[in-house]
Amino acid sequence: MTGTVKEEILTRQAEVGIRFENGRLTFSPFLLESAELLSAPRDFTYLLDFRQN
Amino acid sequence: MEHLISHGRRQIAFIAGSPDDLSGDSGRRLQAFFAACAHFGLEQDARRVVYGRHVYDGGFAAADQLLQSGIPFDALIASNDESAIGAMDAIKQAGKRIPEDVAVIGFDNRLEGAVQQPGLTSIHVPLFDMGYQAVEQMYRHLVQGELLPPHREDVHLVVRSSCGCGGNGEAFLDEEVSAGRPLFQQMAAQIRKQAFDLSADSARFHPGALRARLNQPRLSYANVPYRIKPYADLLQGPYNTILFDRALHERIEAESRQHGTDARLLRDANGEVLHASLTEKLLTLLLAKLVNFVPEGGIWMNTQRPEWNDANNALVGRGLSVVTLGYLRRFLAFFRDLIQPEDGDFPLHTEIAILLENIAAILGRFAPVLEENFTPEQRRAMMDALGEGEAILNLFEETFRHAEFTGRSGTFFAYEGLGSVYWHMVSKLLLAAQETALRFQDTPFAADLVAAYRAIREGLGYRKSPAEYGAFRIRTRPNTTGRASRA
Repeated sequence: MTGTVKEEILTRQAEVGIRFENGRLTFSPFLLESAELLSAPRDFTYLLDFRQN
Repeated sequence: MEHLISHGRRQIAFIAGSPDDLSGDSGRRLQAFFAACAHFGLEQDARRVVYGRHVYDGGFAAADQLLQSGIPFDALIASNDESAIGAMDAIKQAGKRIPEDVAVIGFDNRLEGAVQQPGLTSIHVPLFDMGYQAVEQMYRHLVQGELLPPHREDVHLVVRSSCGCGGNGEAFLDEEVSAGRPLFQQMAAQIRKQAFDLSADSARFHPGALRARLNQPRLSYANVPYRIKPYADLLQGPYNTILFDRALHERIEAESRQHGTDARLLRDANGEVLHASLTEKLLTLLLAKLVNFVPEGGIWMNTQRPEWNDANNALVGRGLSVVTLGYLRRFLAFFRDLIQPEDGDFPLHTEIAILLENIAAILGRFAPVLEENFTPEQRRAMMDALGEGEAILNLFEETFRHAEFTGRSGTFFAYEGLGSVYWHMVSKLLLAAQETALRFQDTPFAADLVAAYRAIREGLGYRKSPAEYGAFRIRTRPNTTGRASRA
């Protein structure tokens, strides 16, 4: 699977639509899918690194 | 075999793989050869079977052995293209003509075969489909528990000239490139109309910064202790192309202990680090590729280093690279746009200036042919001219070729193999599809391109659940620490 992770991160970042143009930050939601945005606040569950225990 | 017999050949020799692999792939191919001999009623002689170990040198030695043995043969089948190419060189060196004296057919349909003289007739193996089918079967087995019967992909003969036909292998390109889809053709037209705007990649962040550096001698060259052999040697042994300069290597190591990393840079006679402008560095890169240009073929890879993003060549670091030629074309468009508005003098080191003039003269000489189609003789003449023009400048070329490949361990190419290349290609495709969608977002193709981008994305990584990848929960026994379940 080497290689796929990097491209997925690059493309995912670009989907958000933030780009440098002419030395300035711009925002274009051209590739953003509205279905991926939350319509209401929601909890986000994530894992902690258990090795610290 | 049938094809050779249709050309009237009856004394067919065979270059098998390895004599140590007779229970494996090599053995099966050899059995197929014997079965075909029996089927067509050809006389069999053990001396007509030799072993080429599927490599160039092996093929060369095997054909040599055939010729030495004195057994007559009017045709030769090699169990892969690489050994077939070695055999062709041995046959030609022995003063025999292909296909008149010996017809040759290979196996694999490698791109290098297409540019041999004569073009190598071969069997096309649909590697992409095989990889795709293999992954799909594994996936269905792991996720849905299905056990599917073995799937076989059909191979077919790609006819060029080495078998006695007059073809020059359009089959290769027809199949791979001219997927005549209307969308593809419209886009190609659009791309041709649009000027390439690659300098925008830098200009997006720092407008004008690149241009400001064009004439400032602020860059250096790495002094890499490898040397590419002279062109004549490359022709003799195209798979064994570089020399390691051990004395230089040891001197650099010793000096870098004393002076730090500056000792790894190219220095002038007074020991000062050699400085070059951005223009010279870009030009050197361009010229280093151009000296290996094979018209209508690609860029001849002779550094024994894998070239980036060229899946075929990534595994071997040799042969002809069409992808590199594609990159070169983009690079040229970028370089032209960058340089064209400039007027004024660009100081260059003498070696670079001479090489630039040589290559410009060679391109000028072949300009009329570049507009038309090359004959094999013209192609070889241009390749020779470029290759010999390089002789004065091995040092710089070498420096640059290696400076490009700093980011990746060779281990990746050696051990991860086909599956890795498959995923790698799909993820590159994802990125390329996204770049294309963004580039054409204000055109009528935008919606189709976004849909294509999302379709590719569905096949990758984070869009799939762990279960779809065949992951399963590990049950832990009561007396263990329980870490495995949390992991």
